[in-house]
Amino acid sequence: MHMNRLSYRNWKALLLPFFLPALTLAQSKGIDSTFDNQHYRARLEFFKAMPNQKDEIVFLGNSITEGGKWQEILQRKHVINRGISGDVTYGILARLDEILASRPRKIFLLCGVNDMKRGIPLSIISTNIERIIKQVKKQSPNTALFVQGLLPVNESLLPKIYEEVRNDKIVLLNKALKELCTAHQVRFVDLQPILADGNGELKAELTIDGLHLKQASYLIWANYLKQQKLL
Amino acid sequence: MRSLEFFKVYRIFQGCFLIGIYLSVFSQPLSAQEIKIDSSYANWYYQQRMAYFEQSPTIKGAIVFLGNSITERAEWQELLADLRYPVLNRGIGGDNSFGILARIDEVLRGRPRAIFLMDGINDQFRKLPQEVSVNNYKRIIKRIKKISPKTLIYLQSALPINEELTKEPYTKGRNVLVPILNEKLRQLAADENIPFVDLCPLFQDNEGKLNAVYSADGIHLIPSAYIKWVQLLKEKKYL
Repeated sequence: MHMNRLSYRNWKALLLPFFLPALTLAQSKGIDSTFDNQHYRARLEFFKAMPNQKDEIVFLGNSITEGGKWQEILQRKHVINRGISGDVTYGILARLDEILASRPRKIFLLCGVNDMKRGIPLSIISTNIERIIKQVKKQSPNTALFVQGLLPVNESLLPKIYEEVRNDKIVLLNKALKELCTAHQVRFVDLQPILADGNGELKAELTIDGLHLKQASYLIWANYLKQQKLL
Repeated sequence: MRSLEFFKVYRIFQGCFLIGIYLSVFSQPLSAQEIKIDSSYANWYYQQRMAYFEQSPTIKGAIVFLGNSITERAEWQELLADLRYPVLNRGIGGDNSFGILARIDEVLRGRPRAIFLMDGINDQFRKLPQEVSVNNYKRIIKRIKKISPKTLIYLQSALPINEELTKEPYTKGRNVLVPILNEKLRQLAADENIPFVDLCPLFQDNEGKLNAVYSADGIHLIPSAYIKWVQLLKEKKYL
């Protein structure tokens, strides 16, 4: 883990000239790019201990992904849950090597909302997600990557710790992600149609706290992926 | 549909309330002190897990892991990807023996091949008399045998806790109760002629506490600890 972090820092330093404007902004706003906590380490230790399988279908992301019992819902043995509660785009970048080592068949990515929670500017979040896309394409070109748009939130239900998370920002970020996907020729999956109400808010009956999903909501999500013939 | 759900939950609540009264009345002659029995379980988390179970398709002949958060947090399907049977996670964070008893029929819907049952610690946290826990376990086992007689039942021990790591006041002074409960469960398994799976040797330290190597919070296991758990079940040829 420590090694990963060091090498990631070095790698970032190499790219410094290209991201100078973003980094300057980052420094002035005091970007919190940390990700290495107890839960992250414990989950990563487990991921590393588990053997790579052939034709893995990976669900990659934060607590929203971790909360899904994906193998159970899909009843397919090579489905794996690589969600880590609290994870941010920096954390996913730092553990992407472990994910790609098995050369997965498919990756369903969903991230960015914890970055937004920290107040990280949207341009930096989308730049990080672009890095994820590029790394997947480079290291595992046969992997089908599905970039899922951020889920809507229900602002009236959200606890105060999520005050930086707003639907207008989510819509903007999703627009940027959609453009990124077009540019890199990967599939963008818009989950808003199944989860949002008429006002663009996460349907109250589907959520626990305005952001996380109730267990049964994952059935709707998985069904949608099947309907779209992505699974 | 929603009101029906609510009605069902309300009925369960009501039922437990009555059991609670019955038990507290019943236990009074045994002890001068009034024993309060908290038999509640149908909190919002339980309900939303149940809604998911009920809306999921019935999967026949599965290996079911049944219990509380310690069961829920494991990636059982991934750990058992080499198995030819489907695997179901029927853990509910915070669940207790009353909650498991109330939902056992849902678990039996698909006539599971095997059930690995673990519970106990949440009962201890609420100071439920162990006789009541063991009786609930017994009712769970009887129900499985009645509804799905071919299902193999594995009664797993409760895990010890590590009170140096736990913060919650309701965990304090509870670890001494775990080996006492486990002995009763071992006896119950013998009476019911089912295997008892003692997980304590895997995860406890020399002093009988949950080994800090395997737990961050003193109650739950870290993800990689489940690899050892599954290994034991395989070594014993239960899987």
